[in-house]
Amino acid sequence: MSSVSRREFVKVAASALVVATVLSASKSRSEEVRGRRWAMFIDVTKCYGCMACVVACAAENNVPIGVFRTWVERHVLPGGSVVFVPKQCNHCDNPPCVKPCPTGATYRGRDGLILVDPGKCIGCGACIVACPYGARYFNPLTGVADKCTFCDHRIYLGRLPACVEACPTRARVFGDLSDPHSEVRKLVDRLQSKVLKPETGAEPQIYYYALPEVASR
Amino acid sequence: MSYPSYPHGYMYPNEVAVGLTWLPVIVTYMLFISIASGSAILVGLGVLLNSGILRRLTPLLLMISLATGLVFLLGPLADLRRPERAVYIFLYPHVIPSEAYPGVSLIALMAGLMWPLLVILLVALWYLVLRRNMWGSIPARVVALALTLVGLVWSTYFALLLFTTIPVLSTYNLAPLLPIESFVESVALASSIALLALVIHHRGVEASLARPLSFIVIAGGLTFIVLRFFGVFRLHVYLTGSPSMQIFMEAFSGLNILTLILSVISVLLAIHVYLRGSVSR
Repeated sequence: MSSVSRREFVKVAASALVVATVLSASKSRSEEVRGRRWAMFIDVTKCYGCMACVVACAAENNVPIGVFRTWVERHVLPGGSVVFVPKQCNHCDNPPCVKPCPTGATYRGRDGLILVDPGKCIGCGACIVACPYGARYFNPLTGVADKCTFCDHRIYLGRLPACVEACPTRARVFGDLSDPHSEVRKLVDRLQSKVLKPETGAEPQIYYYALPEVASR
Repeated sequence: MSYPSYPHGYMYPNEVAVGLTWLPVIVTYMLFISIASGSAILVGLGVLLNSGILRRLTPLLLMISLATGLVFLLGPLADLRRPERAVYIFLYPHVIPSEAYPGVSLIALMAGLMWPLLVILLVALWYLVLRRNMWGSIPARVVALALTLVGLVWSTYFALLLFTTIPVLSTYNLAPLLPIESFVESVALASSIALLALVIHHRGVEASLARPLSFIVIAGGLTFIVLRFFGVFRLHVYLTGSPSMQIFMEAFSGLNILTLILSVISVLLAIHVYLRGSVSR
Protein backbone atom coordinates (compact mmCIF):
# COMPACT_ATOMS: atom_id res chain seq x y z
CA MET A 1 0.00 0.00 0.00
CA SER A 2 2.75 2.36 1.00
CA SER A 3 4.76 1.63 -2.20
CA VAL A 4 1.67 2.33 -4.33
CA SER A 5 1.12 5.61 -2.51
CA ARG A 6 4.73 6.57 -3.01
CA ARG A 7 4.45 5.80 -6.70
CA GLU A 8 1.30 7.84 -6.99
CA PHE A 9 2.93 10.66 -5.09
CA VAL A 10 5.89 10.62 -7.49
CA LYS A 11 3.51 10.61 -10.45
CA VAL A 12 1.52 13.56 -9.15
CA ALA A 13 4.66 15.46 -8.17
CA ALA A 14 6.23 14.91 -11.59
CA SER A 15 3.05 16.03 -13.37
CA ALA A 16 2.79 19.11 -11.17
CA LEU A 17 6.44 19.92 -11.85
CA VAL A 18 5.93 19.71 -15.63
CA VAL A 19 2.79 21.87 -15.50
CA ALA A 20 4.47 24.39 -13.19
CA THR A 21 7.53 24.59 -15.44
CA VAL A 22 5.41 25.19 -18.55
CA LEU A 23 3.24 27.77 -16.80
CA SER A 24 6.17 29.59 -15.21
CA ALA A 25 8.05 29.74 -18.52
CA SER A 26 4.93 31.14 -20.19
CA LYS A 27 4.30 33.56 -17.32
CA SER A 28 7.87 34.84 -17.12
CA ARG A 29 7.88 35.45 -20.85
CA SER A 30 4.51 37.19 -20.58
CA GLU A 31 5.82 39.47 -17.84
CA GLU A 32 8.67 40.54 -20.09
CA VAL A 33 6.15 41.70 -22.67
CA ARG A 34 5.05 44.67 -20.62
CA GLY A 35 7.39 47.63 -20.34
CA ARG A 36 8.72 49.66 -23.22
CA ARG A 37 7.13 49.51 -26.66
CA TRP A 38 9.75 49.61 -29.34
CA ALA A 39 8.55 51.20 -32.56
CA MET A 40 9.89 52.79 -35.71
CA PHE A 41 8.88 55.88 -37.62
CA ILE A 42 9.75 56.00 -41.31
CA ASP A 43 9.60 59.22 -43.28
CA VAL A 44 9.11 58.11 -46.86
CA THR A 45 9.96 61.57 -48.20
CA LYS A 46 13.49 61.24 -46.80
CA CYS A 47 14.28 57.84 -48.27
CA TYR A 48 16.09 57.96 -51.61
CA GLY A 49 16.67 54.23 -52.03
CA CYS A 50 20.38 54.00 -51.23
CA MET A 51 19.83 50.56 -49.68
CA ALA A 52 22.33 51.32 -46.90
CA CYS A 53 19.81 49.92 -44.40
CA VAL A 54 19.45 46.69 -46.36
CA VAL A 55 23.21 46.21 -46.54
CA ALA A 56 23.76 47.16 -42.88
CA CYS A 57 21.05 44.73 -41.77
CA ALA A 58 22.46 41.90 -43.89
CA ALA A 59 25.98 42.53 -42.55
CA GLU A 60 24.86 42.85 -38.93
CA ASN A 61 22.58 39.83 -38.90
CA ASN A 62 24.25 37.56 -41.44
CA VAL A 63 21.18 37.60 -43.68
CA PRO A 64 21.68 35.18 -46.60
CA ILE A 65 21.48 36.37 -50.20
CA GLY A 66 17.96 36.25 -51.67
CA VAL A 67 16.04 36.89 -48.46
CA PHE A 68 15.58 40.09 -46.51
CA ARG A 69 14.99 41.26 -42.97
CA THR A 70 14.44 44.71 -44.44
CA TRP A 71 14.07 45.83 -48.02
CA VAL A 72 13.30 49.02 -49.92
CA GLU A 73 10.44 49.06 -52.40
CA ARG A 74 10.44 51.38 -55.37
CA HIS A 75 7.04 52.59 -56.45
CA VAL A 76 6.14 54.78 -59.41
CA LEU A 77 3.23 57.08 -58.69
CA PRO A 78 0.63 57.94 -61.36
CA GLY A 79 2.37 61.28 -62.03
CA GLY A 80 5.63 59.50 -62.80
CA SER A 81 7.44 60.40 -59.60
CA VAL A 82 9.27 57.65 -57.74
CA VAL A 83 9.08 56.90 -54.04
CA PHE A 84 11.14 54.49 -51.99
CA VAL A 85 9.45 52.69 -49.11
CA PRO A 86 11.56 50.71 -46.61
CA LYS A 87 9.77 47.71 -45.14
CA GLN A 88 10.48 45.03 -42.54
CA CYS A 89 8.78 43.14 -39.72
CA ASN A 90 6.24 45.43 -38.08
CA HIS A 91 6.50 43.85 -34.61
CA CYS A 92 2.70 43.95 -34.47
CA ASP A 93 0.73 44.36 -31.27
CA ASN A 94 -1.68 41.72 -32.53
CA PRO A 95 0.80 39.53 -34.42
CA PRO A 96 -0.81 37.19 -36.99
CA CYS A 97 2.43 35.18 -37.19
CA VAL A 98 2.48 34.12 -33.52
CA LYS A 99 -0.93 32.49 -33.47
CA PRO A 100 -0.42 29.67 -36.00
CA CYS A 101 3.04 28.65 -34.74
CA PRO A 102 2.49 25.07 -33.50
CA THR A 103 5.43 24.95 -31.08
CA GLY A 104 5.51 28.49 -29.70
CA ALA A 105 8.83 29.14 -31.43
CA THR A 106 7.46 32.52 -32.48
CA TYR A 107 6.54 34.60 -29.48
CA ARG A 108 5.99 38.09 -28.24
CA GLY A 109 9.10 38.83 -26.25
CA ARG A 110 10.60 41.57 -24.18
CA ASP A 111 9.01 44.99 -24.70
CA GLY A 112 6.67 43.70 -27.38
CA LEU A 113 9.34 42.48 -29.79
CA ILE A 114 8.15 39.60 -31.98
CA LEU A 115 10.94 37.07 -31.98
CA VAL A 116 11.73 33.55 -33.15
CA ASP A 117 13.34 30.94 -30.93
CA PRO A 118 15.52 29.12 -33.48
CA GLY A 119 15.86 26.16 -31.15
CA LYS A 120 12.11 25.47 -31.18
CA CYS A 121 11.18 26.25 -34.79
CA ILE A 122 10.32 23.13 -36.81
CA GLY A 123 10.27 24.98 -40.14
CA CYS A 124 6.61 24.41 -41.01
CA GLY A 125 6.21 27.86 -42.57
CA ALA A 126 2.87 28.63 -40.92
CA CYS A 127 4.17 31.99 -39.67
CA ILE A 128 5.65 32.87 -43.05
CA VAL A 129 2.30 32.32 -44.72
CA ALA A 130 0.43 34.17 -41.97
CA CYS A 131 2.56 37.33 -42.01
CA PRO A 132 0.66 39.85 -44.16
CA TYR A 133 3.83 41.87 -44.74
CA GLY A 134 6.08 39.21 -46.25
CA ALA A 135 8.59 39.94 -43.50
CA ARG A 136 9.50 36.35 -42.72
CA TYR A 137 11.56 33.84 -44.61
CA PHE A 138 13.23 30.47 -44.19
CA ASN A 139 16.85 30.99 -43.32
CA PRO A 140 18.61 28.61 -45.71
CA LEU A 141 21.54 28.32 -43.30
CA THR A 142 19.52 27.22 -40.27
CA GLY A 143 16.33 25.86 -41.86
CA VAL A 144 14.13 27.86 -39.48
CA ALA A 145 11.92 30.92 -39.84
CA ASP A 146 13.80 34.19 -39.54
CA LYS A 147 12.94 37.88 -39.47
CA CYS A 148 13.87 41.31 -38.17
CA THR A 149 14.47 41.46 -34.41
CA PHE A 150 14.79 45.26 -34.23
CA CYS A 151 18.44 44.30 -33.54
CA ASP A 152 17.56 43.24 -30.00
CA HIS A 153 21.20 42.36 -29.44
CA ARG A 154 22.07 46.05 -29.95
CA ILE A 155 19.19 48.07 -28.57
CA TYR A 156 19.60 46.83 -24.99
CA LEU A 157 23.22 47.95 -25.14
CA GLY A 158 22.06 51.47 -25.89
CA ARG A 159 22.75 51.23 -29.63
CA LEU A 160 20.35 51.71 -32.51
CA PRO A 161 19.22 48.96 -34.90
CA ALA A 162 21.74 48.59 -37.73
CA CYS A 163 19.31 49.88 -40.37
CA VAL A 164 18.57 53.03 -38.37
CA GLU A 165 22.23 53.71 -37.68
CA ALA A 166 23.13 53.30 -41.35
CA CYS A 167 20.40 55.56 -42.77
CA PRO A 168 22.12 58.67 -44.14
CA THR A 169 18.99 60.85 -44.21
CA ARG A 170 17.48 59.83 -40.88
CA ALA A 171 14.44 58.49 -42.69
CA ARG A 172 14.17 55.84 -39.98
CA VAL A 173 13.64 56.85 -36.36
CA PHE A 174 13.62 54.19 -33.66
CA GLY A 175 12.56 54.44 -30.04
CA ASP A 176 10.20 53.69 -27.20
CA LEU A 177 6.64 54.54 -28.18
CA SER A 178 5.45 54.37 -24.57
CA ASP A 179 7.85 57.17 -23.58
CA PRO A 180 6.09 60.51 -24.24
CA HIS A 181 9.47 62.26 -24.55
CA SER A 182 10.93 59.92 -27.16
CA GLU A 183 11.46 61.23 -30.67
CA VAL A 184 9.47 58.43 -32.21
CA ARG A 185 6.49 59.21 -29.96
CA LYS A 186 6.62 62.88 -30.82
CA LEU A 187 6.87 62.18 -34.56
CA VAL A 188 3.96 59.75 -34.49
CA ASP A 189 1.87 62.28 -32.56
CA ARG A 190 2.89 65.33 -34.59
CA LEU A 191 2.90 63.99 -38.15
CA GLN A 192 0.02 62.20 -39.78
CA SER A 193 1.38 58.69 -39.93
CA LYS A 194 -0.01 55.50 -41.46
CA VAL A 195 0.59 51.83 -40.91
CA LEU A 196 0.65 49.06 -43.50
CA LYS A 197 -2.52 47.04 -44.13
CA PRO A 198 -4.49 48.28 -41.11
CA GLU A 199 -7.44 46.19 -42.30
CA THR A 200 -5.67 43.03 -41.13
CA GLY A 201 -6.01 44.15 -37.50
CA ALA A 202 -2.37 43.33 -36.84
CA GLU A 203 -1.68 46.73 -35.23
CA PRO A 204 1.80 47.15 -36.69
CA GLN A 205 4.40 49.24 -34.87
CA ILE A 206 6.12 50.75 -37.90
CA TYR A 207 4.64 54.15 -38.63
CA TYR A 208 5.01 55.74 -42.05
CA TYR A 209 4.85 59.36 -42.98
CA ALA A 210 3.77 60.24 -46.55
CA LEU A 211 3.12 56.62 -47.42
CA PRO A 212 1.62 56.38 -50.92
CA GLU A 213 -1.50 54.27 -51.34
CA VAL A 214 0.19 51.93 -53.80
CA ALA A 215 2.80 50.96 -51.18
CA SER A 216 0.41 50.48 -48.31
CA ARG A 217 -1.24 47.36 -49.69
CA MET B 1 12.01 47.42 -61.04
CA SER B 2 8.40 46.35 -61.24
CA TYR B 3 6.71 43.86 -58.99
CA PRO B 4 4.79 40.85 -60.25
CA SER B 5 1.23 40.96 -59.03
CA TYR B 6 -1.22 38.49 -57.64
CA PRO B 7 -4.88 39.03 -56.83
CA HIS B 8 -4.42 40.83 -53.56
CA GLY B 9 -1.46 43.15 -53.39
CA TYR B 10 1.96 42.59 -54.90
CA MET B 11 4.59 40.05 -54.10
CA TYR B 12 7.18 40.80 -51.45
CA PRO B 13 10.83 39.85 -52.01
CA ASN B 14 10.72 37.18 -49.29
CA GLU B 15 7.65 35.66 -50.91
CA VAL B 16 9.61 35.28 -54.11
CA ALA B 17 12.28 33.42 -52.13
CA VAL B 18 9.89 31.15 -50.23
CA GLY B 19 7.18 30.75 -52.85
CA LEU B 20 3.47 31.26 -52.47
CA THR B 21 2.55 27.62 -52.30
CA TRP B 22 2.30 26.33 -48.79
CA LEU B 23 3.33 22.74 -49.24
CA PRO B 24 2.18 21.41 -45.84
CA VAL B 25 -1.38 22.19 -46.81
CA ILE B 26 -1.14 20.14 -49.96
CA VAL B 27 0.83 17.32 -48.38
CA THR B 28 -1.28 17.03 -45.26
CA TYR B 29 -4.65 17.28 -46.81
CA MET B 30 -4.74 15.71 -50.18
CA LEU B 31 -4.60 12.02 -49.60
CA PHE B 32 -4.33 10.35 -46.23
CA ILE B 33 -6.30 12.83 -44.15
CA SER B 34 -9.12 12.70 -46.73
CA ILE B 35 -9.21 8.93 -46.76
CA ALA B 36 -8.98 8.63 -42.97
CA SER B 37 -11.57 11.30 -42.21
CA GLY B 38 -13.99 10.24 -44.96
CA SER B 39 -13.82 6.61 -43.79
CA ALA B 40 -14.25 7.71 -40.17
CA ILE B 41 -17.41 9.64 -41.07
CA LEU B 42 -18.84 6.63 -42.92
CA VAL B 43 -17.89 4.28 -40.05
CA GLY B 44 -19.53 6.60 -37.55
CA LEU B 45 -22.69 6.81 -39.63
CA GLY B 46 -22.70 3.04 -40.15
CA VAL B 47 -22.63 2.37 -36.42
CA LEU B 48 -25.12 5.13 -35.67
CA LEU B 49 -27.62 3.92 -38.27
CA ASN B 50 -26.83 0.28 -37.43
CA SER B 51 -28.37 -1.10 -40.58
CA GLY B 52 -27.97 -1.36 -44.30
CA ILE B 53 -24.91 -1.19 -46.44
CA LEU B 54 -22.82 1.02 -44.17
CA ARG B 55 -23.02 -1.58 -41.40
CA ARG B 56 -21.72 -4.23 -43.77
CA LEU B 57 -18.91 -1.95 -44.83
CA THR B 58 -17.97 -0.86 -41.31
CA PRO B 59 -15.15 -3.40 -40.76
CA LEU B 60 -13.47 -2.48 -44.04
CA LEU B 61 -13.92 1.28 -43.63
CA LEU B 62 -12.73 1.11 -40.03
CA MET B 63 -9.54 -0.65 -41.06
CA ILE B 64 -8.97 1.84 -43.89
CA SER B 65 -9.50 4.77 -41.53
CA LEU B 66 -7.26 3.30 -38.85
CA ALA B 67 -4.49 2.39 -41.30
CA THR B 68 -4.41 5.86 -42.88
CA GLY B 69 -5.21 7.70 -39.65
CA LEU B 70 -2.20 6.20 -37.90
CA VAL B 71 0.24 7.43 -40.52
CA PHE B 72 -1.15 10.64 -41.96
CA LEU B 73 0.93 12.83 -39.68
CA LEU B 74 4.00 11.50 -41.47
CA GLY B 75 2.97 13.43 -44.59
CA PRO B 76 3.93 16.91 -43.39
CA LEU B 77 7.38 15.65 -42.39
CA ALA B 78 8.26 15.82 -46.06
CA ASP B 79 7.80 19.56 -46.03
CA LEU B 80 9.19 20.57 -42.64
CA ARG B 81 12.53 22.29 -42.91
CA ARG B 82 13.53 20.68 -39.60
CA PRO B 83 11.65 17.36 -39.66
CA GLU B 84 13.73 15.99 -36.78
CA ARG B 85 11.96 18.53 -34.56
CA ALA B 86 8.42 17.45 -35.52
CA VAL B 87 7.97 15.95 -32.07
CA TYR B 88 8.15 19.50 -30.66
CA ILE B 89 4.50 19.88 -31.72
CA PHE B 90 3.68 17.43 -28.92
CA LEU B 91 6.37 18.63 -26.50
CA TYR B 92 5.68 22.37 -26.78
CA PRO B 93 2.14 22.61 -28.17
CA HIS B 94 0.94 26.16 -28.58
CA VAL B 95 -2.58 25.57 -27.27
CA ILE B 96 -2.73 27.81 -24.18
CA PRO B 97 -2.95 31.50 -25.10
CA SER B 98 -0.93 33.94 -23.03
CA GLU B 99 0.49 37.41 -23.49
CA ALA B 100 3.71 36.02 -24.94
CA TYR B 101 1.92 33.39 -27.00
CA PRO B 102 -1.41 34.88 -28.09
CA GLY B 103 -3.90 32.68 -29.88
CA VAL B 104 -4.02 28.93 -30.33
CA SER B 105 -2.28 27.07 -33.11
CA LEU B 106 -4.65 24.91 -35.13
CA ILE B 107 -1.75 22.73 -36.23
CA ALA B 108 -0.85 22.00 -32.59
CA LEU B 109 -4.49 21.46 -31.65
CA MET B 110 -5.15 19.02 -34.48
CA ALA B 111 -1.90 17.12 -34.06
CA GLY B 112 -1.89 17.08 -30.26
CA LEU B 113 -5.58 16.56 -29.56
CA MET B 114 -7.65 15.68 -32.60
CA TRP B 115 -5.25 13.11 -34.02
CA PRO B 116 -4.99 11.01 -30.82
CA LEU B 117 -8.75 11.40 -30.43
CA LEU B 118 -9.39 10.04 -33.92
CA VAL B 119 -7.16 7.03 -33.32
CA ILE B 120 -8.59 6.35 -29.85
CA LEU B 121 -12.19 6.55 -31.12
CA LEU B 122 -11.42 4.23 -34.02
CA VAL B 123 -9.78 1.70 -31.71
CA ALA B 124 -12.68 2.02 -29.24
CA LEU B 125 -15.21 1.43 -31.99
CA TRP B 126 -13.24 -1.54 -33.29
CA TYR B 127 -13.32 -3.04 -29.79
CA LEU B 128 -16.99 -2.31 -29.11
CA VAL B 129 -18.42 -3.25 -32.46
CA LEU B 130 -16.10 -5.76 -34.04
CA ARG B 131 -14.71 -7.51 -30.96
CA ARG B 132 -17.62 -7.31 -28.52
CA ASN B 133 -20.35 -7.17 -31.18
CA MET B 134 -22.13 -4.34 -29.33
CA TRP B 135 -23.96 -2.97 -32.37
CA GLY B 136 -26.68 -0.56 -31.39
CA SER B 137 -25.49 -0.19 -27.79
CA ILE B 138 -25.32 3.26 -26.24
CA PRO B 139 -21.51 3.24 -25.77
CA ALA B 140 -21.03 2.27 -29.41
CA ARG B 141 -23.42 5.01 -30.56
CA VAL B 142 -21.74 7.64 -28.41
CA VAL B 143 -18.30 6.71 -29.73
CA ALA B 144 -19.68 6.63 -33.28
CA LEU B 145 -21.18 10.09 -32.89
CA ALA B 146 -17.89 11.45 -31.53
CA LEU B 147 -16.01 9.75 -34.37
CA THR B 148 -18.33 11.29 -36.96
CA LEU B 149 -17.74 14.76 -35.52
CA VAL B 150 -13.97 14.30 -35.29
CA GLY B 151 -13.97 12.96 -38.86
CA LEU B 152 -15.97 15.97 -39.95
CA VAL B 153 -13.41 18.35 -38.42
CA TRP B 154 -10.51 16.46 -39.98
CA SER B 155 -12.20 16.40 -43.39
CA THR B 156 -12.33 20.21 -43.40
CA TYR B 157 -8.82 20.64 -41.96
CA PHE B 158 -7.41 22.14 -45.14
CA ALA B 159 -10.00 24.90 -45.18
CA LEU B 160 -9.77 25.46 -41.42
CA LEU B 161 -6.00 25.78 -41.63
CA LEU B 162 -6.26 28.33 -44.40
CA PHE B 163 -8.99 30.32 -42.66
CA THR B 164 -7.37 30.43 -39.23
CA THR B 165 -3.90 31.21 -40.51
CA ILE B 166 -5.02 33.98 -42.83
CA PRO B 167 -8.63 34.83 -41.88
CA VAL B 168 -9.06 37.30 -44.72
CA LEU B 169 -8.45 34.47 -47.20
CA SER B 170 -11.76 32.89 -46.25
CA THR B 171 -13.48 35.28 -48.64
CA TYR B 172 -10.92 35.15 -51.46
CA ASN B 173 -11.00 33.31 -54.75
CA LEU B 174 -12.51 29.84 -54.40
CA ALA B 175 -11.99 29.66 -50.63
CA PRO B 176 -15.53 30.22 -49.26
CA LEU B 177 -16.75 26.84 -50.49
CA LEU B 178 -13.60 24.96 -49.52
CA PRO B 179 -14.96 23.37 -46.30
CA ILE B 180 -17.91 21.80 -48.13
CA GLU B 181 -15.71 20.76 -51.05
CA SER B 182 -13.22 19.16 -48.68
CA PHE B 183 -15.93 17.23 -46.86
CA VAL B 184 -17.49 15.97 -50.09
CA GLU B 185 -14.10 15.00 -51.50
CA SER B 186 -13.21 13.07 -48.35
CA VAL B 187 -16.35 10.96 -48.33
CA ALA B 188 -16.16 10.27 -52.06
CA LEU B 189 -12.47 9.37 -51.81
CA ALA B 190 -13.07 7.02 -48.88
CA SER B 191 -15.82 5.27 -50.86
CA SER B 192 -13.54 4.93 -53.89
CA ILE B 193 -10.79 3.44 -51.75
CA ALA B 194 -13.26 1.01 -50.18
CA LEU B 195 -14.43 -0.05 -53.64
CA LEU B 196 -10.84 -0.51 -54.76
CA ALA B 197 -9.96 -2.50 -51.65
CA LEU B 198 -12.94 -4.80 -52.21
CA VAL B 199 -12.00 -5.36 -55.84
CA ILE B 200 -8.39 -6.10 -54.95
CA HIS B 201 -9.19 -8.32 -51.99
CA HIS B 202 -12.19 -10.26 -53.26
CA ARG B 203 -11.38 -10.14 -56.99
CA GLY B 204 -14.76 -8.51 -57.46
CA VAL B 205 -17.59 -6.74 -55.72
CA GLU B 206 -21.21 -7.77 -55.69
CA ALA B 207 -23.88 -5.32 -56.78
CA SER B 208 -25.26 -4.79 -53.27
CA LEU B 209 -21.92 -3.28 -52.23
CA ALA B 210 -20.74 -1.75 -55.50
CA ARG B 211 -23.92 0.24 -56.15
CA PRO B 212 -24.07 2.18 -52.87
CA LEU B 213 -20.35 2.92 -52.92
CA SER B 214 -20.42 4.11 -56.52
CA PHE B 215 -23.51 6.15 -55.70
CA ILE B 216 -21.56 8.00 -52.97
CA VAL B 217 -18.74 8.65 -55.45
CA ILE B 218 -21.22 9.95 -58.06
CA ALA B 219 -22.96 12.19 -55.53
CA GLY B 220 -19.69 13.49 -54.12
CA GLY B 221 -18.13 14.08 -57.53
CA LEU B 222 -21.19 15.86 -58.91
CA THR B 223 -21.49 18.01 -55.78
CA PHE B 224 -17.84 18.98 -56.08
CA ILE B 225 -18.24 19.90 -59.76
CA VAL B 226 -21.35 21.99 -59.05
CA LEU B 227 -19.65 23.76 -56.12
CA ARG B 228 -16.55 24.51 -58.18
CA PHE B 229 -18.65 25.93 -61.02
CA PHE B 230 -20.57 27.99 -58.49
CA GLY B 231 -17.30 29.31 -57.03
CA VAL B 232 -15.97 30.30 -60.45
CA PHE B 233 -19.34 31.86 -61.34
CA ARG B 234 -19.22 33.88 -58.11
CA LEU B 235 -15.77 35.17 -59.04
CA HIS B 236 -16.96 36.10 -62.54
CA VAL B 237 -19.87 38.05 -61.06
CA TYR B 238 -17.63 40.00 -58.67
CA LEU B 239 -14.41 40.35 -60.63
CA THR B 240 -15.13 40.19 -64.38
CA GLY B 241 -13.02 42.71 -66.24
CA SER B 242 -10.76 43.46 -63.29
CA PRO B 243 -7.01 42.77 -63.24
CA SER B 244 -7.62 40.43 -60.32
CA MET B 245 -9.77 38.17 -62.52
CA GLN B 246 -7.13 38.09 -65.23
CA ILE B 247 -4.47 37.09 -62.70
CA PHE B 248 -6.78 34.52 -61.13
CA MET B 249 -7.44 32.95 -64.52
CA GLU B 250 -3.72 32.77 -65.25
CA ALA B 251 -2.94 31.26 -61.89
CA PHE B 252 -5.81 28.84 -61.37
CA SER B 253 -7.58 28.08 -64.66
CA GLY B 254 -5.21 25.23 -65.62
CA LEU B 255 -5.48 23.62 -62.20
CA ASN B 256 -9.22 24.08 -62.17
CA ILE B 257 -9.73 22.52 -65.57
CA LEU B 258 -7.53 19.55 -64.60
CA THR B 259 -9.48 19.13 -61.34
CA LEU B 260 -12.77 19.24 -63.18
CA ILE B 261 -11.63 16.77 -65.86
CA LEU B 262 -10.49 14.31 -63.17
CA SER B 263 -13.75 14.76 -61.29
CA VAL B 264 -15.79 14.11 -64.44
CA ILE B 265 -13.74 10.97 -65.17
CA SER B 266 -14.31 9.66 -61.64
CA VAL B 267 -18.04 10.36 -61.89
CA LEU B 268 -18.27 8.61 -65.29
CA LEU B 269 -16.41 5.57 -63.95
CA ALA B 270 -18.68 5.47 -60.90
CA ILE B 271 -21.76 5.72 -63.13
CA HIS B 272 -20.40 2.83 -65.16
CA VAL B 273 -19.99 0.74 -62.00
CA TYR B 274 -23.44 1.74 -60.77
CA LEU B 275 -25.16 0.79 -64.01
CA ARG B 276 -23.24 -2.44 -64.36
CA GLY B 277 -24.09 -3.39 -60.81
CA SER B 278 -20.99 -5.36 -59.95
CA VAL B 279 -17.24 -5.20 -60.46
CA SER B 280 -14.87 -8.04 -61.21
CA ARG B 281 -11.21 -8.21 -62.01
